[in-house]
Amino acid sequence: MKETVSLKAKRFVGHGILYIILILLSVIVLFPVLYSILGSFKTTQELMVSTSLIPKEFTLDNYLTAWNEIDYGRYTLNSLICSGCAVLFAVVQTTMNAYVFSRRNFAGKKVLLTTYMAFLFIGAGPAGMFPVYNILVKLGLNKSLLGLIIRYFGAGISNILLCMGYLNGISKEYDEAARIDGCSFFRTYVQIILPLMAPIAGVIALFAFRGAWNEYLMPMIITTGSPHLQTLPVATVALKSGGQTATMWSVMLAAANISMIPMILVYIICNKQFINGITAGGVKG
Amino acid sequence: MQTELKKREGKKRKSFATWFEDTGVTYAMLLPNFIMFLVFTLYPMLWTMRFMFYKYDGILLAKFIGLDNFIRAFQDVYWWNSVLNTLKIAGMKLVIEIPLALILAVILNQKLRGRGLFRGVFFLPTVISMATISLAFSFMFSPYNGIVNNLLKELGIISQNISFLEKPTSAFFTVVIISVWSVFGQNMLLILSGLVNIPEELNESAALDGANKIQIFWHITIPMIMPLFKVILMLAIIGSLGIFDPVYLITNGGPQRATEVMALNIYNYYFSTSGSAGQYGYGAALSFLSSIIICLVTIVYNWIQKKCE
Repeated sequence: MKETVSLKAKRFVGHGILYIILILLSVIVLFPVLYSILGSFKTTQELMVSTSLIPKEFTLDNYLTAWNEIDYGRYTLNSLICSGCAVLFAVVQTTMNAYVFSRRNFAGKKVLLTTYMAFLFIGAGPAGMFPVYNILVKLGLNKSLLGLIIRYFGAGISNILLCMGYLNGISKEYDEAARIDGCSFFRTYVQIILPLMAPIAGVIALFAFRGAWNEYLMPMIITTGSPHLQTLPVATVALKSGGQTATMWSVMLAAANISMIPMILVYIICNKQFINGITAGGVKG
Repeated sequence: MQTELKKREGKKRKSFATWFEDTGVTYAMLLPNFIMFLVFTLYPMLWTMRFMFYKYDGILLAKFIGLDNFIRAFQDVYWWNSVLNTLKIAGMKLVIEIPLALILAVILNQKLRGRGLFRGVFFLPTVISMATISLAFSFMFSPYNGIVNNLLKELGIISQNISFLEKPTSAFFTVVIISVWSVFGQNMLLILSGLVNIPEELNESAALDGANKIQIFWHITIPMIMPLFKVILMLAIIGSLGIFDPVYLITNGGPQRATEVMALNIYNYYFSTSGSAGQYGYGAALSFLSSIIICLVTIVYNWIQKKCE
């Protein structure tokens, strides 16, 4: 009896220490996010002097300024279009490639897969951005959103492999049955396999959304010279060096939040899929 | 005669249809992604491999100069400074991030109330764009009225404001902390995915045999997740050596190049707004060198790992 009590007490203390560590760390992790969100409701004056996170008076003026005077509606639309296309492309390309690779044997299959995999680790790095930018300029694509979107029209090999793993768990009898009913190879993909892959496609979609919505460097390079094409992260960073807003900290935070909050909401709603996606095999965005 | 011709045509058409269904469609469905691969992965790579032997400013004709770019690179103090910075920042980042991720993964693998919530919180930074949150970070670390300075003063840790981003050491640690903040959750979850697969009975039977938590951790948990952990660590090393976004957005390599990393050094030869842009050949050569360095580090890592076994 005594022993169980002391064991319980020990456990209680042990868990107490764990919780203190976890909560402390959570505060540190959440601090920049809370600072950004709460700071955007302060006036710039208050933001610059106070040590308190919570604003004395809530004001929405910063958001109105960002939306009306710095054209954040436009940037939001750009971001939505780019991310929407990225999601669509990623889902179609990844599932389609995985379907062909897992269901068909053809000449060059091994070579193709190995080549894709080899390039997973070797990339051209920052030097590779220049030739890509060059191609887009030569095709005149840097003058429209197409230049931003076209780069998303490909599937990552790690995602293809993940989908292939998932497909291996789907019985080939579905394909057989469809074929006997006169379904072509392609139609089987569209009508039978794609719907069956919905759970994994959802994970791919989420990570594609995250990647495109948050991408900064390439969109920044591509939209140099056409500011109206900027996406939210690009426009937000540009504010830092922009003359008119350089002193308006809280407006800049409001602008940053317009870019950050939708992503956080998506994350909160699809939390399970995100976490399962990572644990299922390290999906890349 | 005519019927025979029709028959033959029919046969041809049918054979095309069957050929397409059997073979053609396979390649047709793979083609879009293959084209993307050629244009956006292979071409930039070949471009780099070619122009690293050229002097090329994008305006005048490219001039073949052999190995001159590499000779210049070996004498380039700024380049080697950036290599050293990369190793230092990546090393420091990994030293903090990997143990943190491992410990949190072990803690959050236990039956704790609210562990789902904590997992969610720690993963949150990985869904936020570094570009967006960098704004909040620069305000927080601002020397005049930044909240970090104000907090430290109120707690009595410092008496005068620190210009975090204007002194080499503090700028270095600021970059490290921010980059740890942004990715440790991802590594935590990856490690957790390995922990989840350790059968519960194994821990239970060890506990029955009188093993305490620390013993279980060293003798069961660690060996069980080692294969996965090695992969995670290698990916973390490769990722850290390519670090760019936090440095570019927070310090832009400053002060006095104290935080300039390889990727940023190379980037500036292409897109910098000040002076050094337009040296595409030299940038390509440095890019090639940086791949070699990353490759060497992974080889050394694998060698050490084999030695340890």
